[in-house]
Amino acid sequence: MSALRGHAQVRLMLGLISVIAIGAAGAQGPEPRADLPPIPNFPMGALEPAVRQQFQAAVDHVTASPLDAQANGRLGLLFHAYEFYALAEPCYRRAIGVGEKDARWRYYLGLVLLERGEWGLGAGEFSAFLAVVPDDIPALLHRADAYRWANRLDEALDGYRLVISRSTEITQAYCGAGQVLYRLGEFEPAIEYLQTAVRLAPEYGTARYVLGQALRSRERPDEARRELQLAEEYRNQEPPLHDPLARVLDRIRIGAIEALHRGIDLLHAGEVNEAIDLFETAIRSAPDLAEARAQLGAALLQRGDLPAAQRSLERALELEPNYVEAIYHLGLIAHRRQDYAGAIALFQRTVQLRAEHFDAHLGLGTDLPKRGQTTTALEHLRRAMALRPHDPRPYRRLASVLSTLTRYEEAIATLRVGLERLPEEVTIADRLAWVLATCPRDDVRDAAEALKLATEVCRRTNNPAPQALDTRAAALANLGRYDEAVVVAQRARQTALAGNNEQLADQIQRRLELYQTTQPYRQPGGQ
Amino acid sequence: MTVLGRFVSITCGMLTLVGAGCGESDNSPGPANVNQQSATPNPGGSSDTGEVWFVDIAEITGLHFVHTTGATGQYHFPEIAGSGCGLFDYDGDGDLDVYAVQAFSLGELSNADGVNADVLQRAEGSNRLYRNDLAVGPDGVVTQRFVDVTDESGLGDRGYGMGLAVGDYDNDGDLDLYVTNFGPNTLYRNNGDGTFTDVSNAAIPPEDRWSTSCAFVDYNRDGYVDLFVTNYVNFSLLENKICFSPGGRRDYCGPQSFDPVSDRLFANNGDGTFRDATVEAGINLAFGSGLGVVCADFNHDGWPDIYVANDGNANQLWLNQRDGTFENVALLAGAAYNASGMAEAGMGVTAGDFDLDGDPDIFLAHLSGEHNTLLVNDGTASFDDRTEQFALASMSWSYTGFGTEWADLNNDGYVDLFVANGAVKIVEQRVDEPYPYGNPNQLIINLGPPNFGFQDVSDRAGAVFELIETSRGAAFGDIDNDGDIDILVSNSNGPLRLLRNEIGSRNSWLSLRLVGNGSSRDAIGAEVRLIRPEGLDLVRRVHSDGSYCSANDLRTHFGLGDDRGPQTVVVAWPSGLTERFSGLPAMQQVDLHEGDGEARP
Repeated sequence: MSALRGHAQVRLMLGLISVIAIGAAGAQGPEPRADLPPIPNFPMGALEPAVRQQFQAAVDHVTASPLDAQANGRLGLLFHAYEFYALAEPCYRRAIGVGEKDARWRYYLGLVLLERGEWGLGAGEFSAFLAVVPDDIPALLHRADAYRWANRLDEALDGYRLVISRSTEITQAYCGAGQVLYRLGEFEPAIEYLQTAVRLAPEYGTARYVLGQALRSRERPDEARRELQLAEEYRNQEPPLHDPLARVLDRIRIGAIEALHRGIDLLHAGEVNEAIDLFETAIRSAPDLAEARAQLGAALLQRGDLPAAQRSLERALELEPNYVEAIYHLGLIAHRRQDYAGAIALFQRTVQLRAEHFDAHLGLGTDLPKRGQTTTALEHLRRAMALRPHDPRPYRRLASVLSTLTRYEEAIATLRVGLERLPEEVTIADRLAWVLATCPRDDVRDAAEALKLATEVCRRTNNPAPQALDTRAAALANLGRYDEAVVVAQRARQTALAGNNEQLADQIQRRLELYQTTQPYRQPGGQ
Repeated sequence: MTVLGRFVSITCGMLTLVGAGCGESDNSPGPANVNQQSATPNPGGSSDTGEVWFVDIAEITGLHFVHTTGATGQYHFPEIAGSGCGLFDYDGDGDLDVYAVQAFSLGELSNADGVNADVLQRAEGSNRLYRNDLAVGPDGVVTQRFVDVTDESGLGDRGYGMGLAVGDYDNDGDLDLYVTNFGPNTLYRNNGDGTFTDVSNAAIPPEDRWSTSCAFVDYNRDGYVDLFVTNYVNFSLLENKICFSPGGRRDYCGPQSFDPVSDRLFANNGDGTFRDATVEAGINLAFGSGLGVVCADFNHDGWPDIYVANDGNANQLWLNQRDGTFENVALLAGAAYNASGMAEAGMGVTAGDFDLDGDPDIFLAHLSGEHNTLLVNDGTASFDDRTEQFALASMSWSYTGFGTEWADLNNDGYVDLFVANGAVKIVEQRVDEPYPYGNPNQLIINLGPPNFGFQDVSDRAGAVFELIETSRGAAFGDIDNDGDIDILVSNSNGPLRLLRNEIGSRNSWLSLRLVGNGSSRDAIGAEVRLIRPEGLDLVRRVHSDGSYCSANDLRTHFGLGDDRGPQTVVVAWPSGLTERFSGLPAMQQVDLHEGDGEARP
C-alpha cells in the first residue's frame, strides 16, 4: 500500500493566504528620473503573508528612497527570487542607472535577462560585470552560455575556452565547448571535450546526451547508444557550480509555504530526510500549520519511523480534528503494525469524511478480508475501481479476494476489464495469467492462454519480476511442460532471493518441488 | 482529373481592418462581403508596405463562438489545457466548415458524490459546427457567412472537449469525426446528408481517459485510415491537487503532478469498426504526458510513422516496422529531447519540409522559459535540434506555444509558421487580470534559400496579432477558396478567431484534393511532390493532423511565387502507386483521383 499516494500536495490554506489586496506598490518616488524605468507595479494581495511583508518592506524602502541603488537592487532580488523576472529587470536597471558602482546588479540583471531569453543583452551585462570582476568563473560561464544560446558560436567557444584556461575543473565549460563544436559540425573535437566532461562528472546527463549525438553523427552507433542510455539514466543531473551570488537568491525565499513546497518537492523526489528537515522548518515558522504536521507525519512514515509519524499526525488532528489525510495516514500506521481492526476503523472514518477517498477504500479492501469481512471488502474495492478506473490495484485486489472466495469467473472478468482499460499494465496481465493457470476448476482454467499472457509479460519487461516468472512456470506446468517449468521456476526463485523476497522464494520452492515430481500447482479450492 | 475552377475573381481593394473595405462588415444576419484584394504579385510574399496580412473575420461572418473553461476557482487541471478547433468540408460542397470544441464547468461535478471523469457530460452547451455558406456572385463579389448547424448535424458533443481528428474512416466519400474529451471520446460517422451519427458504442473500443490530440493514419496501408489517440495524464476531479506559484499564489499544477498514461492506436477493421491495436502494435511500450501528434513518413520508406509530443517527458518517434508494429526510436534518433538532452513541454507539433530537402522536419511548441524546437530531419528519421541556428530560439522564449503548423502563408513556396500562444501559469505582468494567461500569437516567415532562416513578422501581420489572448488550438486551410491559407484559432475563455489571409493569394498557388482508390478515400498520408524545373521540388503530404487538438484542411496546398504556368506533380499514394499528373493549371483547385495519372515506377 502506497503510503503517500495522492497526499503529497499542498492544500489550500485560506488561513495563510490572504485574499485581501493591500494595493499595488506602484508609487513613484517624489522626483522620478526620466532615464530610469519606473518602479514596477505589483499587486501583492494573493501572496502568502510572510512573503507579502517581505515585498512590502522592500517596496516601502524604494518608495521612500527611489534613488537608493541598494534599495532598488534588493527589490530586484526579491522579484528575482520569486521568479517575477519581468519585474526584477527594471529594479536592477534602476540600481545600475542611479550610478551604483556595485557590479552585482549587472550580474543579477544578466541572470534575469537569460531567464527572459534575452541572451545577447545578458551576455552584455556579464561582460560589464567581468570588466569589474574579470576572473569570476560563473560570470564567464554564463556569458559563454548566453553567446551559445544567441547562436554567437565563435564567441561562445572562446568563452568556454577562457573558463577552461582559468580552471580545468569546470565541467560545464567542457560540455559547452563540446556543444558548440558539435553545432559547428566539428565532431571529433566536440567528442574530445565531451569525453573530458563525462570523465570529470560521470553523471552529467547533458554531456552524455550531446556526446551520444556527436558519436551518432560520426556513425559510431554502439558508443552512441551507450552514451544516450547513460544520458537517460542521468537526465537532469548536472554538476554543481559554485556561484555564491546566485545562491543568495535561494536564501531570500522565506515562509512556511515555501518550506512546505520545497519539502513536498523533495518528498516527490524521494529525498525523505531533506523533506523532513523542511517540514520541521515550516512547523517552526508556523507551529499551527496542520498541513506541515501531516506532511511531516507522512514523511516520517515513509522513513519507517512509526512512533514519530504517529505523534506528528495526531498533532495535526489536534489542530484540525477532521483532517482526512492525517486520519488516513494513522490508518496506514495501524496497518503497518498489523492492527487491522484499528486500521479499518481509521479507514472507515476517512471514507465517512471523504466518500471518494480512493486509498482508504483500497485499504479497506485489503484489511477487511483479514477480519473475515470479504463482502464489505468487495464493495470498497469496487468503489475504488470506480473512483480510479485507471489504477491497476483495485483490479488485482478485487480479483484476489474473488479468487479467495472461489469466484474465479468473476475474478477473471475483473482482470479482463482491467486489462482492457490498462493494456500497458503488466501486473494485471500477470495476475490474469496466474488465475487462468492455477484455477482449480477445469472448466475455468486455461493454461494455454495463461502461458501466452505470461510470456508476453516476460517479453515486455527487460528483467522479469519473480512473480512473472513464477506465473509462467505455473502455466507451463499446467500444460504438462514440466522440464521447462522447473527451469523457469528456478530462475524465479533466484530472482526472488536476489531481491531479498524470501517469502516468495519459499512459495516458489514449494511449487518447484511439485513440478519436479510432474505435478502442477493449483490454487486451493477444488472443483 | 477534375478541374473545379474555384479561382475567385478579384473585384475590389483589400480590407485593412475588420469592418472596412468595400462590402458589408457589420453583424447583420446576411452574408458578409469578403472581397479579395487586388492581385499584384509579390514574389517575396512579405508585407513590407505596411499592409495587413491577417484580419479576424470570425464575428462578421457569424462565428459567434466563445469558449469557456468553466473555471470555478478550484483549478482543475483540464481547465488550463484548453480546446482545439477544426476545418473540414463536412457537407462536401467544396468549402471548409468550422468545428469549435467547447468545455464546461467542472466545479459542481467535482463536489458531487460518485461522479468522476468517466461519466462527464455537460448539462448545457456543446461543441459547435458552423456551415460555411461561401458564394461568389455574378459580379464576382465573394460573400461568406457561417451558420450554426450543430443541432441538425448531431455534432454537438457534450463532453469536456479537447480536440478532434478528421478522416473518411469508412471510405464512403464524406469526412467523419473523432472527438477527444476529458472523459469518454466520441466517434461520429458522417451520414452523407449533413448529419452525423454517434457510433462510439458500436464502432470503436471506449477511450475514457483524458485524451488530447488525435490523428487518422493508415498505418498498415490497407486502404482504411486507423486512429491514433494521444492521452495526457491520469487526472481525476476527485483527486484534484493544489499548487501554488513561488510567491504563494494559487495556480494550476503542471503535468509532473500526475502520472502519464499510454496513448492508444485503434486499427480500422475495414467494416466500419475499429479494434484496439495498442498492445499488438507496441504503442504501449513507451508513453508520456501526450498533447500533440503528427504522422508522416519520416524515414521515407513509404510507411507512415508517428511522432508524439509529450509535456515534460521524452517524446516518442514511432517508426513503422511495416508489420503492424512500431518501434520508438526517439532517443537514438535525436527526437526525444532538445539539444541539451532535456525534456521540454511539448504541446503542439507539426511536420513539414521547410528546407526543401524532401523530408518532413518537426517543429514543436513549448512552454515559456523554453524555446519552441526545430528538429531537422536528415532524410533517414535522424534528427538534429537546430533551433538556435535557425534563429527560432529567442522569439518563443517568452511565450507558451500550442497550435502550430508549417504552412506556406505567403505562397512563396516555403512553409512558414504560425504559433498560437497562451500561458499555463499566471503571467506575472497580468496577475491582476481576470484570466492572466494571455500571450500574443506569432507569425514567423521562412526566408527561403539558401539559408532558410526565419523572421518573426507578427508586429506587421495585423491587429489580430496584438491581441493578448490565451490561444490553444489552430487549424489551417483555405476558408474562402481564394488560394491562400487562413487560420482558425481557438482561445481558452475567449472567442474563436478566424484569421483571413489578406496577401497570400497575390502569389500563384495550386490546391489539390486527392481522392484515393485503393488508398483510403481521403488519401491521408499521400506524398505530393511538385516538380520545379528550376529550383528544388516542393513536397507536401495529405494530412489533417498536427497542431494542437485541431484538424486542418485535407487539401494539399502549394505556393508558387510568381509561377503562373501549368504544374506537374508526382503523387506517392499510400497504396504504393506512384503517379504523375501534368498540366495542372496554377491558381486553381484540382481534384486528383488515384489511378487517373501517369503511373511511375
